[in-house]
Amino acid sequence: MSRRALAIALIALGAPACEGQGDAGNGLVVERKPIAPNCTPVPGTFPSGLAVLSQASHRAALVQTSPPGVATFDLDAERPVPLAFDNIGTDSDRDGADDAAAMAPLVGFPLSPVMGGITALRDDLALVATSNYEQLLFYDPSSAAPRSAVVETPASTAPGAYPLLPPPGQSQLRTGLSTLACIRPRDPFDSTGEPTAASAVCDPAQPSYLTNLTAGAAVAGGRLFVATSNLVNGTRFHPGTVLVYEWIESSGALHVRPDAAAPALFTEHFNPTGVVRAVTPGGRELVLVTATGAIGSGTGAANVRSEGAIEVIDPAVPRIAAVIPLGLAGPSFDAPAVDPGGRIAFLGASSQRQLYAVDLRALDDARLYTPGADPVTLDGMRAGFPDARVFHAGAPLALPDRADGPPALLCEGFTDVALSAAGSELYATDFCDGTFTRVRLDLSDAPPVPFPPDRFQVAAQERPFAPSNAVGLLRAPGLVRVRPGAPGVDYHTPDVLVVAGQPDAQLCALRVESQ
Amino acid sequence: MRAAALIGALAFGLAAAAEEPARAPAAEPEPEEMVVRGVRTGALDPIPAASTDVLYADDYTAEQKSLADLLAETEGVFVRRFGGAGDRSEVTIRGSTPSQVVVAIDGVRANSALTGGLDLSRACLPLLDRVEITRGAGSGQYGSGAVGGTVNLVTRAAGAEPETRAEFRGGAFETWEGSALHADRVGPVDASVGYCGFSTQGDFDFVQRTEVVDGVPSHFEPEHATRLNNDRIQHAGTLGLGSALGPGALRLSDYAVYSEGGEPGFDGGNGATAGQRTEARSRDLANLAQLRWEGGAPLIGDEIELAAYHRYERTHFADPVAVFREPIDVDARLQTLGARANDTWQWRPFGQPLAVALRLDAAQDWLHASDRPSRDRASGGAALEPALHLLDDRVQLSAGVRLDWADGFGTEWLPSAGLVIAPLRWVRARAQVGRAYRVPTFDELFHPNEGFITGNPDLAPEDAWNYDAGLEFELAQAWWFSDLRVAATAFRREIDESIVWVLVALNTIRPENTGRATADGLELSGSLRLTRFVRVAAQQTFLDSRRDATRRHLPGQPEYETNLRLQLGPDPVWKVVGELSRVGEILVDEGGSGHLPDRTVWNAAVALNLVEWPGFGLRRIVSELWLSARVNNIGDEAVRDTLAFPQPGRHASAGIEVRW
Repeated sequence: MSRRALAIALIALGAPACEGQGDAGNGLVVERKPIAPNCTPVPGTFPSGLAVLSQASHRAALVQTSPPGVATFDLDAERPVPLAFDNIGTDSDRDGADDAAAMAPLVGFPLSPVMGGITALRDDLALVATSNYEQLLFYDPSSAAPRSAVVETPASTAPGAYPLLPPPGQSQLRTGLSTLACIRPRDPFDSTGEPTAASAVCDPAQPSYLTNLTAGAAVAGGRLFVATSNLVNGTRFHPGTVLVYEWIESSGALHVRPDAAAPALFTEHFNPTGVVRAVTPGGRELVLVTATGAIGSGTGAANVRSEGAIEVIDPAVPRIAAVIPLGLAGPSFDAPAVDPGGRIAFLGASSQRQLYAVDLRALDDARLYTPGADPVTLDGMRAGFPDARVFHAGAPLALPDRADGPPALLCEGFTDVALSAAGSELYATDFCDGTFTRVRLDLSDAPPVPFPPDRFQVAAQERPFAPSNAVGLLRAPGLVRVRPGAPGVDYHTPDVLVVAGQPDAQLCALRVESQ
Repeated sequence: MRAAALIGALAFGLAAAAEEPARAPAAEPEPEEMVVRGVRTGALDPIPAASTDVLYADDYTAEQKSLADLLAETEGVFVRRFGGAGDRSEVTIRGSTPSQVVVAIDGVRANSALTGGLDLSRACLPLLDRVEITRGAGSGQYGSGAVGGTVNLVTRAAGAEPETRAEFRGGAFETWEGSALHADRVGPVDASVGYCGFSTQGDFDFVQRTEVVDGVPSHFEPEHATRLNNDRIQHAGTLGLGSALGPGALRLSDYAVYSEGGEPGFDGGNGATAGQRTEARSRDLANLAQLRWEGGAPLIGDEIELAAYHRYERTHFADPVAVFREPIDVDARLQTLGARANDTWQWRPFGQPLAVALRLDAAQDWLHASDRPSRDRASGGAALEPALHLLDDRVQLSAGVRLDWADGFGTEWLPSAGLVIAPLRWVRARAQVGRAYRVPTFDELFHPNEGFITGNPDLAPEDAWNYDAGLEFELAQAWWFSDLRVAATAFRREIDESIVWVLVALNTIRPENTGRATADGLELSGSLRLTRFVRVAAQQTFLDSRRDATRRHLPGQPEYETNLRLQLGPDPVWKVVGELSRVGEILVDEGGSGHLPDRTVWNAAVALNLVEWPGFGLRRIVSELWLSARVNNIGDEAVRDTLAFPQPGRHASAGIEVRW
């Protein structure tokens, strides 16, 4: 071989040697295949929100963390059929700035949005929460397409009050509403009793912090209410807030701006998460907020660090009108499940295998809405006001144990609830033992507030999922939702949806009443 | 700058080596080869009943391969890589987990007592002489941990002739690697000293994964990303000293490695960082020293080995970027002090050779870490292994039993048995059965409760039985072919109480003992030469590992793996090597729904030994001088062994390797 041949050989070998991107062909495609006849894999991991749309649409929208986005499913099949997915992108609110880069000056490093829950307001409009880059995204849940709204900042707003909203006095068409707000707490102490420090990026002159962990949202009384947990770290929480925005829909356009009168409400308990609009039997429109209290990520009663409650917002004012304390309950982070008649609301528990409930009929008392009054605690200790608690930490609705469930030390319980479309039954999943429990509700007549506990009986407990410590089986059911309409009449496919199997989750369809 | 430092370190080593005059053999033309066609049988290596392979590093001279590359081309072995050069890689055997494989250096277990596995990227191939791989056995020698098998890395020691070798190469992602090794006799002492340095900027472009369900894709934005914070610098060294002592030889060996670099962690996210850690760093230092005497004393045994060793490991991990938690800054130190004694007696009862080996070993581990209380654990074992050779070695019967003890887990009996039948010198059938177990690691037992992750002090040891049977034959000459070798082995492993990290609560993962699982498989391998210019080798592994209760596959392992190697050229004059690696789908979650796609990756290398070319006139100076170039992943395939750790696309390197 000559030197020339050697040179040619080396050049020939070097020709394709430029660094590749590993993207030949179709790149890297991870195929997720169904493993159960009634379940469909989520096209990603860690689903964080699920909303079932109207009876007419036969669709559901699911939020997933990775890839971050919204997926829609057709429910007219034995298992949900995926239709579309939309990644929220790197500029998710379309404000012209990269999300992560926009957060960097505020927290010291880039932070991308982490997906949260979804609230479907209509078949063509849903609110999707994201954290780290705190916001609510506007989505068409039927098609998983982003929607736009005119986001405004009143001229009277103090500079820096909403670091990522348009400057005061300006508006912008965006696909997301920033929920990053500078908060100066009324009681400047965190959940451990430590004083709140001044925040350099918020108000260096007084105790302050930026909101974080955007959670539930609801629209009521022409206002948008958004809960922010305000976690410091670990199990330490700043005082919780519910941000209030004016919500104006006219001529097909949506305008949203911070509420001039009460831009933020402080919850009486730490860690507000779930938010839902409710209408009482007397026709009063309210907003119910789940405030879990300070809570860790473990299991059992020791995981609950402070008392929780359902807090009641009068959206017309707006202000917190009443508090229904639950004690050291550690309720689930979901919004309360309200029966169609507005009489009762249920919550799961994030650390134990039990449920809580409050009697919403107590909220029809006009005295709760006296202008300027302090929130009324409806625990039976306030003269003239009833005890609105049906099940609470001291007297929970305990679900039966599963004989082959995981040891309590491992996972004592994490329950999610939904009510049947008719409001006659409650369905509860338990992440820990994989059970699906049906509780029969007797809301007939008009017994005194609160409903007697014996009106709520466990009717059946099924085991569609394996316990959480099982390996290789579909397990760990979480979010549960019920399709609207009459099963077997309005539709003939499964009536209940459950997200199971975190982190590589499946969206499962169960036939409960739709047999 | 790092490259300059490496070059400096190498220059130092080379300068020392240069003091030794070159002792290259005289340049003489090779005799013309005469080929006689026909069939001539070969002779199989006298290996025991276990499925064993020995890979000699010198067989891959100037091919710029890593230890992980070598292991990956062995049947039954799957190497799980977490990135490119310098990034973590782990070895699994027959569907095991990495912590179910004992990786040893010069016979001393090197697995981390903290995490169980061993990062293959910390072992530098130029410092190794050979790699001994045993599949489906090894409990008799090592006790706990040899569920899948064992890998023993044997460092280079001084041979009969003084030797100096050095190597330097550079390539994609600003990666530089160099090594120098010198071995010689100084009076009654044989000595070897080696250094290996590695530096990489490490950032490579990759494509993020697209997940597809029922034809609906979901993907990250942007689709292309860069592996960030992936730089690494590494220094490794070996020292070997040996001398005759009494009726045997005393040898001191030491392997040390220091590594420092970024830890990008998982990918999977939108934006420029693609969800990776941008500031996390790690550094670790490990040292393994062994003092060993080998010899024979008529009164107490025919082959005696006495050894004491010390293993030190220090790791530091820090991530200042903290969201809703304190920044991470963890320092852990592990030490192991151990000793072993092996003694083999040989008799000829009834005129048939019988060898009986007795093994005794004991070790003590200590863990001190900034994030948890200190821990220590003692372990030890005794094994008796008779082997009887019958009918002029046509039949070999072997058996063994080991009593293994670990503090907190009591004692376990680990029996094994093997049979080899070789009716002819060139064909052999063999079978073996043995029990294995694995005591949980410190992390599995005592990982501090950090909210989202915690250890499980109630874990039971993993318990397994391995079975395999195989047939192999070797022909020295068959028509135009020579060195024709074909082997086939079927295997089964039944494992109970295997330990898996499970999401047990909404936000908490912890290790759990799981139910029974069975891995069935078939290993095929073959190799041949066609004239002196062509060599072909191929391996194929089929694996079907499932949980008994659900019949669902275990994640993390491909269902099949094929490796094909074609080498052209009259080694050691020049060679062109082409490699094909085909890996089947890999299940990526315990739920059983996500699958990484199958893939085919091509690599190529070309190397030229300038000493063999008279025009260069180098034979008087050095014995070998290779120039080489290599291209990996020529087709630029998207390659991942795990869901969230991308590997580089096409990349190349060039190097020089010299020996005196």
